[in-house]
Amino acid sequence: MTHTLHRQGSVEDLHEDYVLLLRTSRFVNHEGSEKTMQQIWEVISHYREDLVNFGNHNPNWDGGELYDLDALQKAKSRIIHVVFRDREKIKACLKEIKERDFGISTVVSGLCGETEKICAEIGISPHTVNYSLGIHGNTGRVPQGEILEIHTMCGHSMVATNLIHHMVNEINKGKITCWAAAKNLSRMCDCGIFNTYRAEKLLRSMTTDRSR
Amino acid sequence: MIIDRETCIGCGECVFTCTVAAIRQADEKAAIDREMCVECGNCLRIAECPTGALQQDELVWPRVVRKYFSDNQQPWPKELCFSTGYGRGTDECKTNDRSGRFQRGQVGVMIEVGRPGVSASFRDVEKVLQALIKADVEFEEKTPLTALMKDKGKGILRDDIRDERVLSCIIEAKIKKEDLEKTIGIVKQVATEIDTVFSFGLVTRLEEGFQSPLEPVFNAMGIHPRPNAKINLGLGKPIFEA
Repeated sequence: MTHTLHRQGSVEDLHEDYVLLLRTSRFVNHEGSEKTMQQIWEVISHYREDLVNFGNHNPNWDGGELYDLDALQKAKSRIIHVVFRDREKIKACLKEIKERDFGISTVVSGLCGETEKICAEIGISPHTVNYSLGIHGNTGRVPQGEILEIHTMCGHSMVATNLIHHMVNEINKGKITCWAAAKNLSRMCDCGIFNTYRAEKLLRSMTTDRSR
Repeated sequence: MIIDRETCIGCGECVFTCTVAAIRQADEKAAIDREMCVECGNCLRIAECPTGALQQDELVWPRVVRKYFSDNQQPWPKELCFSTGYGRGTDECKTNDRSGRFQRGQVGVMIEVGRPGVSASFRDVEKVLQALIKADVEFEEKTPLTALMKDKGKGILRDDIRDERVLSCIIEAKIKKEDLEKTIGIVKQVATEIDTVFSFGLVTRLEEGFQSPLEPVFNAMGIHPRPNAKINLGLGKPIFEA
C-alpha cells in the first residue's frame, strides 16, 4: 500500500510532516519478528513527547484504546507507523534504530531533500525511493487546497471530505476548537499516520478560531 | 451498508462520515445510494448511530469485493490473501531491501485508481490496465487486483466484478527502465479517458549518494515529482542480493 506517499501540501508545511514506517515482509520475516518489533516500540517510546501520532496494523486511531505506547511494547506488530513534526527528532530516533541494528525494513515518508540530509548526517545510504507523480485524471472531482491536504493525511482516504467541511463549519460557529476538530478527524485514520498537529494548523488557517 | 428507515431518526451524524458522499438526508431520514457506497464501513465505526438504524448487511460475492478493497480492517479471504492480508496493495517499496522486488534497471509503476477520495469502478480500473499492457508492463503477481484478473496478458478483469466500485485499488507493475518515457506517456493519455482520478507513483533503486536513475528521464520530459517521497533506508537484514 502506498498510503503515506501522496500527502499534499507545500514544502513549508511538509517540513512538519515525517512518517517513519518499519515493517516485516509477509514472505520474508512476518514470523519470528515479534520480539524485535516490541524492542523497536521501546526505542520509539523514548520520543513519546515528540510523537504526533503512531499505530500498528490494528485500528489505532488517535485517542482510542489501543493508542498506548506501553501496550504496543507488548503487542504483536507487523508494522509500526510513527509521525514526527520535527526533523531533528526523527533523526535522533532513526540514529538509535540504526545503531540497534534491528534488521527490519525502515522507511521515511517525507521531504526528499531533508530525508537525504538526515541520512547523510547519520551515515545511512538509502536503498529505494517511491516517487509521487501526483494526481491525474478527472481532477475536477478532487477536493482542493487545505481540504485535500487534510484528506490525504490518511492514505486510505478514510478522512471524509464532508466531515472536514462540517468541522470547518462547526469551528466557525464556535462549537468546537481547531484542536478538537483535528483530533476528531484523526479518529478516521486507523493506521495512526494522520498528522493531527498539521491538521490543526490547516484548520486554523481556514477558520476564524484563534484559540486552542 | 443499509439504513433502516423505520428506526432512523434523521440526526444526520452518518452523512458527514461517508467517504464517498453516498449518504444523504431525504425526507428527514438518511438514505444510502447503494451504487455509490463502497462498503468502507467508516459510517458504522465513526457515526455512532443512536438508534442502530445504520447496519452492515451480509455482503456476498461480488459486492463484498467493495469491502475488501475499501475497508482496511476487512481481511481478504484466504484464496485472495496477499501481502498483509488486508487492504488494497502490497509491501511494494517498503520491504524492497529484503524482498528484492525492484532491482536495478527496473522501475515499479504504482497507480492507485480512485485516490484521493473519488472512488472508482472496475471498468475504470480495467481501462488503465489495458493501457498499461501497451507499455509492456509486468503486473505484480501477488496483489489483490491481479488475483481478480481473468486475462493478465490482456488486462481483462473477471466479468462479475466489473460493475463494482471501490474507494481505491492499486495497480502494481514493473517495467524496464528504458520503457519509462513510453509508459509515462501512456499513463498520461489514459488519464484523459477515465471518469475518475488516480495517484501515480514510481519506484526505483537508488545509486550511491542518493542518485536516482530516473532523474535524467524526468528532466528530459519536464516532469517534477512531488517534493515528498517514500524512502526505504536499506536497514533490513539480510539485504536481498540479486
